[in-house]
Amino acid sequence: MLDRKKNKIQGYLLLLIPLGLIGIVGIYPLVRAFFLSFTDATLYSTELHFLGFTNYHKLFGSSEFINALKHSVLLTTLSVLIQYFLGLIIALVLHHRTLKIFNFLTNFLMLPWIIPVASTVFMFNWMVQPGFGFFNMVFESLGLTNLTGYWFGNINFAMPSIIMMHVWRNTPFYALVIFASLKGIPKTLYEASSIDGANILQQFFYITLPNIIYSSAVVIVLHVLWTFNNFDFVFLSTGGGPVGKTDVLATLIYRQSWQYYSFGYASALGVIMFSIMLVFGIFYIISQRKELG
Amino acid sequence: MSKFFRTVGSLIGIGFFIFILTPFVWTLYCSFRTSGSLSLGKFWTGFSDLTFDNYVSVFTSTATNLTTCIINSFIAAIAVTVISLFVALIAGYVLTRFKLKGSNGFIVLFLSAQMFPLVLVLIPLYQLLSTVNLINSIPGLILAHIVMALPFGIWLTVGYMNQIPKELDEAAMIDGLGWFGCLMKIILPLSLPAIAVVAFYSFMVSWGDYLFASIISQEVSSQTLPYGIATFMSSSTSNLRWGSINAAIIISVAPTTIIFMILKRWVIEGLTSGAVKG
Repeated sequence: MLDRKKNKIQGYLLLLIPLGLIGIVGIYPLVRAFFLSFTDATLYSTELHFLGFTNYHKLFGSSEFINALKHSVLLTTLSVLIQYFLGLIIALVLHHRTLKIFNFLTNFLMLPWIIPVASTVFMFNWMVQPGFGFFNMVFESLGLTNLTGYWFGNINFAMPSIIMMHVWRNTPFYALVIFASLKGIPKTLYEASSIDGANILQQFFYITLPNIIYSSAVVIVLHVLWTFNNFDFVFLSTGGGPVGKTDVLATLIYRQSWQYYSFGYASALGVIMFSIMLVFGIFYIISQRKELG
Repeated sequence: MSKFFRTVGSLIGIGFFIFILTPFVWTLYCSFRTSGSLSLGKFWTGFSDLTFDNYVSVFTSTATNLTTCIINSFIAAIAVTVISLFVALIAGYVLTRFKLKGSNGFIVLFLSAQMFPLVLVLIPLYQLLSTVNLINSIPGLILAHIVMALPFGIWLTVGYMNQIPKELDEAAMIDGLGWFGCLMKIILPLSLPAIAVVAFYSFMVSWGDYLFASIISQEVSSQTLPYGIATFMSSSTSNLRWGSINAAIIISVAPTTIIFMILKRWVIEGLTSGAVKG
């Protein structure tokens, strides 16, 4: 119906609205950042000098970059692994309704995900305060005084605290996605297999797992991208410290751009970050394109 | 399921929900306690230490400008929601109904815009906004938030409208309805669940943003709530004000929580749909 020529023109004109907006606030900045990464741009520079690959040379030789990259990979890997396995267990528990109260509690499952990440950090920051923070009070009353102190400022506790906040926020999303795909598995498969004598583990590995593998893959890729991209969690809790122990690519780039104002170098770091994300991004796009047909 | 697995699973489940809910319950409780009683490090210090003053001081204290922040956050979030929704609906309609050449290419483009590293995009975006004098202004922040909200919004409307049978609007067109009438009378009413999700997601993204707001709207007149609370917490007097900080945190959590509770079923379905089909 809408394939007459006049309609097509109208269609392209309408498409200019979303394209224009995304173009101005998304695509143009991204392209411009690629360009900046080859220059000596700073906050103040009025004219740019082309540097070639100097910024890239500099970053690959910088221990700060290696440090941040290591932490980004570590944080992403550990968070996503813990979130996935915990989310899977919670989804199974909810699916099998082991306790009646879970039906009620599921109403609150998504709360961590829908509130601002900043608010999450503020709440945990309040709870890890030395002396009168919730965690400290609990551990002190249990006599575990070696677990007390300001976790965000402690070399050994800072990274685990950040991972804990990621797990707190994102696990519910995994649980809901897997829970939803568990619902789609026909019950007859389980009935038939138990008549054939399959035990619970065999049922899990031969029926459940193959049926949730697609949604698992999508939710994992989504969160790899999200965690790698996320800035608020680390910046607002530890700021990358103590002594760079939690510095990730996002906080490094932010510091380079807004403390040292070296836009060119920061852009080069960002381009490397984008390239890494692109590998996972392509997986994501392929998985989603199938849906469109 | 065998008894062993049920028991272990239940225990993990209970532990998990305690973990999820503790920060909310604790922060809510502390937001009603005086700062003096909070600094004692006790779980309970008597009824006389319970108070509404923390909430009053968030709105009245001259030491902070949290009231301005709250208003700014609402203005930005509502504007981002309206704009994203409008644009996403148009994009979804055009991309699923007007059989244009390159439709799939555009969809992939919008999809990939979801994973641009925001810290990288922020640098040229700042330069762009400052050349048009939109730094430290709410309109500047709204524009910036659209890059976070819109790609996912378009993605959702495209996915949703693809599932609405094309015969419906084709029949309406044979009856003489134009594309605009079709969009308004046929597609929109059927897309209400998608509209709810896109609106919720856009609001959530704008309301929760710290990264962009910390650069684009630093000045007092244009600050938003996450940035305002962060500044408040790091100020030198913050140790005396934990009560107000807790109240401010609860205020920052409340809007998305309330909207989510109203739209819950649609939002969950919409958010998980991309991952569940397959």
